Amino acid sequence: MSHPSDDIKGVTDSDKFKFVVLKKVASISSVLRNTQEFAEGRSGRIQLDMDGDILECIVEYLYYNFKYKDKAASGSVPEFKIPTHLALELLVKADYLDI
Amino acid sequence: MLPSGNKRTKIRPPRRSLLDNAISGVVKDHGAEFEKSWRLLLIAIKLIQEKNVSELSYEQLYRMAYTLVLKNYGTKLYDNVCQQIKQHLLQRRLHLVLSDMMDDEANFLKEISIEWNEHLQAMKFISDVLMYMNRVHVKEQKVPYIYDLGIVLFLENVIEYNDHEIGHRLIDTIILEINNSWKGQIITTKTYITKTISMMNELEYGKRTVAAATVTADDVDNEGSNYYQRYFEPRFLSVSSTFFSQFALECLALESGSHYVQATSQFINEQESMLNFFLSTTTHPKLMQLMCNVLVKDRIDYIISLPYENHGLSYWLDNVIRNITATTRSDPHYEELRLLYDLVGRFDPERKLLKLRLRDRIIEDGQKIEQIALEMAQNSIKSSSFSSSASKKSPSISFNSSSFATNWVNSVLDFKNQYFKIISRSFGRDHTFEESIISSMRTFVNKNGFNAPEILSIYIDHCLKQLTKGGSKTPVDELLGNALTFINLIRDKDAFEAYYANHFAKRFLNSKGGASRMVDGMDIEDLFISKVVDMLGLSTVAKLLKMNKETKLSWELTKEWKKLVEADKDKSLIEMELKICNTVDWPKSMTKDYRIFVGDEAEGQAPFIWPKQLRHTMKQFEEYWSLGKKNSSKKLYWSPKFGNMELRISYPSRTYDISLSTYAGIIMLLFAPQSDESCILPFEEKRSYTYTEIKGLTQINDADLRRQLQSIAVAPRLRLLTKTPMSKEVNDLDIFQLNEKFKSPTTKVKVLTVSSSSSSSGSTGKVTATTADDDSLEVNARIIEGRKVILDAAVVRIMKSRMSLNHNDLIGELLKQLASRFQPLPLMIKQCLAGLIEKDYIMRDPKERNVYRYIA
Repeated sequence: MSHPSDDIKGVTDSDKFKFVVLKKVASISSVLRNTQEFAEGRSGRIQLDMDGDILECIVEYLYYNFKYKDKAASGSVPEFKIPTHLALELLVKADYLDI
Repeated sequence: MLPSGNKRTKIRPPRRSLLDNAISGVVKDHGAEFEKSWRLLLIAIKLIQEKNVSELSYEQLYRMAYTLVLKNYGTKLYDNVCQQIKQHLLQRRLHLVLSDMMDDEANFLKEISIEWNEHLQAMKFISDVLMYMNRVHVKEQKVPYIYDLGIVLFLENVIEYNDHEIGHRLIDTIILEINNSWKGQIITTKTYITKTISMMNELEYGKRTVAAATVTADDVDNEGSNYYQRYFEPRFLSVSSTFFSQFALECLALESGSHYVQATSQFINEQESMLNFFLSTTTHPKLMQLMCNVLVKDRIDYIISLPYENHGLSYWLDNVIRNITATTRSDPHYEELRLLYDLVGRFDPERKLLKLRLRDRIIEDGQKIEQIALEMAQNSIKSSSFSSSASKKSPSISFNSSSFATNWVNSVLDFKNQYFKIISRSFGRDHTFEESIISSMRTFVNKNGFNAPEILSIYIDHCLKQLTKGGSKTPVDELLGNALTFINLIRDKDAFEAYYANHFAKRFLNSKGGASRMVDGMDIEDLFISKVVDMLGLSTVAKLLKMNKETKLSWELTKEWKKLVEADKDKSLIEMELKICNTVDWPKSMTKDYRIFVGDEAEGQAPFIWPKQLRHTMKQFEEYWSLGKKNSSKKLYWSPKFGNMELRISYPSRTYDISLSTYAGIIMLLFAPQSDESCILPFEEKRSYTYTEIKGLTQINDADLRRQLQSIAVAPRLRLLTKTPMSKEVNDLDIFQLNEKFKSPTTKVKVLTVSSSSSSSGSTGKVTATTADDDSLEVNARIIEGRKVILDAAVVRIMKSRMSLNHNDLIGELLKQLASRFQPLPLMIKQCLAGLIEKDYIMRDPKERNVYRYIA
């Protein structure tokens, strides 16, 4: 369940979904970044209280952000599709994670 | 991810669980709900402050704070956190105050910086946990960020608490340590000083009042925006100022300028690097400035002006003037001068003060050179016997003797070179100093009553003569270099040109048998003139160039004439060395009376009578010159004033080849056989003439005639004629005869003409001096004439282009245009303007008296 390697950070949700995310990708969220000095930093695991589909979307977004963050100026960034039915909840989670 | 088949998508509402889960369980009472979360957070904060971060789950704490903020407990949470930090800090403060380390500077600083670091670390984690509050609550309420709050609290509860108990102690400790290091003690607390100083810099006051809005750069820059600037810096500067003053007094106590510059330079240099390490970038320049003001600016002038005994500037430079006469040279105090230069540069990059003081020294010392050169010239005369070969030296030295001129010019150049050496060794090759030194030297070189242009010209004349004689050991290049350097120091270039022309003319007219001007295969007159042209420009030396050209034409003519004489079958022509000078270009003192020898009937002036032995040759040459050389448009005048004659006279004892001046030769020719047919030998004839008869036969003017007769009949050893009665004075009725007893050890005899003054006064002293004085008076008159013309021309030129100009502008423009030649005196300008107004070139404006108008 956990991957305590240096570059990998598990972001797990409460209903047993598990996502493995690169540390530098996860660090896009300042909340996730801040965890590293605390107990989560030692275990390499962050327990998040959210549904799997929401979290999946967030992880997708983090990778999307990571991939295109240097290309924002050029304008050749594809649109990030947000599933309409999750929109409101994603908004709340994004605020929570400071994304 | 979209549910398939659904046409209309339903937006799922956010789950409530996030909020509910935080306070696991259902607590209806809002107050209790807050208390529960807060208790957990409080424990977490305490753990953080005890450095047990890694045992806490960030996500949980963050979620708790998030929930509390969302539920509008923001203010309460913020206040509680503030309270907790405050309490914690007060505890730590007590710990600091009570600990034994308070007595030990090093440990005290160390403790404080450790506390500070730990506090900052804790604040960072607390701030991380409360991130959501920072983002939401802080912005809404416009209160400081948690992290900044921590800094403010540290400032209030540790440093400033109890009337700055710790703060003052900290400042005093740091200052004490820095002072100790100034006193030369080694301090071990450097790192902690740096740390605590940077802490004080971070303790910013702006954050206490400025709300969540970001602190702008302006606030930080505000005077006293942090603890360092508000408390430490003023106190540090005032303590430093006292310390520096005391240090300066200690350095002064030894009453030695050398000691002072050495001690302060060393101190300042050491501190500069050390303090750079400690102090903030804003204080460092302030402190350095303070240091420079106290140690250098306020006292350096006193140091520079210290008298010789106390090692001021006069002491450091003393060797320069001493070296001029000293046999073994000793360096001026390069090291002290270098330090002085650096010190002065600290408060004034242009170093005006140093230049000013240096100028005073140069002018004062420079004027001594005159005396030194005079003594040197006198000494050299005492040591060398009278048989000095180079030039006719007189026993008493005047300013225009060549001996004085050489010594003076060499000494001044030596003086200058030594100063330039100081510039390169002590003043970092600062070019502005070179200018300053040159201009200072100009002041004493061109001071009133001292005719530097003439002296330089005498010097060059002397050197050129030495060179052509091969008697000089100085290489040509060096000599030229010296002369050219010196020209630069001369203010009135036109005067130099006039004197130089005069000397040049004399050298040419007095040269004999086409004396060589060649040295090392170069014509040195040519060489020198070309250098002067390079330096002063073609127009300034136009006359010199023409003169030089004419000397060359004359040589060629001499050669051609010689061929003609050799080809002459009758042998009736006499060989001549011809020197033909255009009266316009050659100095007036030489040419002014060229006409009187042809006579002026209106003034009753009888023409000069050329001996008949010469007349044929002169006539032949005139024809040859005007027809053969196509000079019919020019008129040729013969001037017996110049030149020499070679006569072969057979005295009873022996036949001599006698070289004598033209006048003397003409007198001697009176006693010669009058025609080839006459078989009577002159000595058998015993022809005799009285003074009046000689005058009648030659029409030589009285002054010259007396002088010439003295030279050949009175002067001991070389009496070609006898005079009755035998006395020094030449009277009208004295009778002259050939001296039958004339004897000379050599067959070649050279008759030197005595000077006019000695013929009238009868004394042998001051021979060259007086003639030279006459000469320089004439040259001076010529210079002034020349200047009037140039000035007139310049005024007209300026007014023509400007049409109307006010007085001051005109003067300014004039000075600018004439600067390369001379400095016109105000009186001269005034006279010139008055003259031009009179001649209707310009007029005063009828309305404004100050304005001149050009009259077309």
